[in-house]
Amino acid sequence: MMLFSLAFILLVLFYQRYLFKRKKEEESLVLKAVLEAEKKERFRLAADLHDGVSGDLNAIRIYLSLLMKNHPDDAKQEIYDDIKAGIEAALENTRAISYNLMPPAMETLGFYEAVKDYLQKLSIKGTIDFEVCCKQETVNIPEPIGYELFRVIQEFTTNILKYSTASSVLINMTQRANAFTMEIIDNGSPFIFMEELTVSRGIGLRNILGRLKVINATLSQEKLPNGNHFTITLKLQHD
Amino acid sequence: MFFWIAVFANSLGIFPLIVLKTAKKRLLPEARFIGPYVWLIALGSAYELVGTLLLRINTTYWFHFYCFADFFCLNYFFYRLFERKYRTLNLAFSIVFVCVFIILMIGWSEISNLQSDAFLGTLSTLLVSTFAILWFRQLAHDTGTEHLWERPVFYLISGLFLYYSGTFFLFLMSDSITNNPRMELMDFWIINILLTLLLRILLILGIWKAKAK
Repeated sequence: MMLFSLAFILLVLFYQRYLFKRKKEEESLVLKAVLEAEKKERFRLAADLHDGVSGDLNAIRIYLSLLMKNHPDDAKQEIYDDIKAGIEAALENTRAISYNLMPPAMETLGFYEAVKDYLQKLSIKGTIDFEVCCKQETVNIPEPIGYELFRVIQEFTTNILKYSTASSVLINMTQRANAFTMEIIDNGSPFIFMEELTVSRGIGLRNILGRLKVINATLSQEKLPNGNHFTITLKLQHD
Repeated sequence: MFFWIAVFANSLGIFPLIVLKTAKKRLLPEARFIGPYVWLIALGSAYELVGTLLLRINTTYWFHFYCFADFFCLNYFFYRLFERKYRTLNLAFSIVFVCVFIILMIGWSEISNLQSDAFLGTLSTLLVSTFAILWFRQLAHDTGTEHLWERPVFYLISGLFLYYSGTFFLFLMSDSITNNPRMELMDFWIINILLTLLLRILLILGIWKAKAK
């Protein structure tokens, strides 16, 4: 009778562990599928904005220029200028939205250049100095991984812009034969990632962990008295 | 050596209570319900150490009371653990136990105490086995915990399940063994002592793990 109860307990132990592993695998698959769908949708939206909305706005701008040229009117010049300024602003916004959805440099120049381009734009717009450096000349990681890392950087930089008092941010990349490391270091107000994750209502931090999980990367944080130091480590598999 | 193992196993019965009292309010809710059972074990250990071993008091009445209290402490534990989900089952067990207890009391004597305690023990075993299986069945589909041994109640339920199932036949046969001149009950009682040791260790572990951080 005791052997039966012992066998029963062991059976439950192993079965429950098996179910737990299966659930984690399923969650991982669902997460991958969701992120892949999101990526495709972003690509589609970026293309639609670029081809559709930007194209139409450019056409309107051209028509307005023709109208101003062919029918000059001093009384309406101010209105023409306002309309032109509005169209320029809409074009700029559309370009920015399209860029944020899917940076063109990711497809054409690769991950490192896309990050450089993105951070350059952020530095120009705001008061924070963003810098990226790499010990090697370039970074050679698969495109799907690069895409997720880019989104992680976007998430981090968005949080820094919104909440941090940082004046400078450094992203330091190191690639070795079978590992890739990315450090995000800022001099803003310190925060503990895992603690913020439990109290935050936003999905940004969870998205970061979700994306890192999909690409089998790990996130660690080194506590600094003034600032934050995050390290993302990724093992690379070579065929 | 047999005697000292028995004394050690007996003395260990006080430690779950000590661990419980040191935890006080910091104990996780699901483990708190084992409180009455732990008190009973501690009381039993103290009685057997002082009353039985030192003062040599007759244990017959104590064991009979212990069977009764043991059943209801366990019933209470499972009733609260399952958050009244199986209250009908708890009630059914209680009614059956009380009826059997009353019937056994009618013809009870010091001579037949092992037999009547065996019947009562069977009901306790049935209670523990039923609810342990229900708990394991419920937990088998709980995919929130990676390792079951991280759950404090796992130790409590496992300890109870192993003890009651392991001693089931021993208690059932105890009267026959005692009445058989060729057999000595003490030769088989080591099973009870070892399983008691196992139960108490698992209780200590379970309550220790249940201390909220």
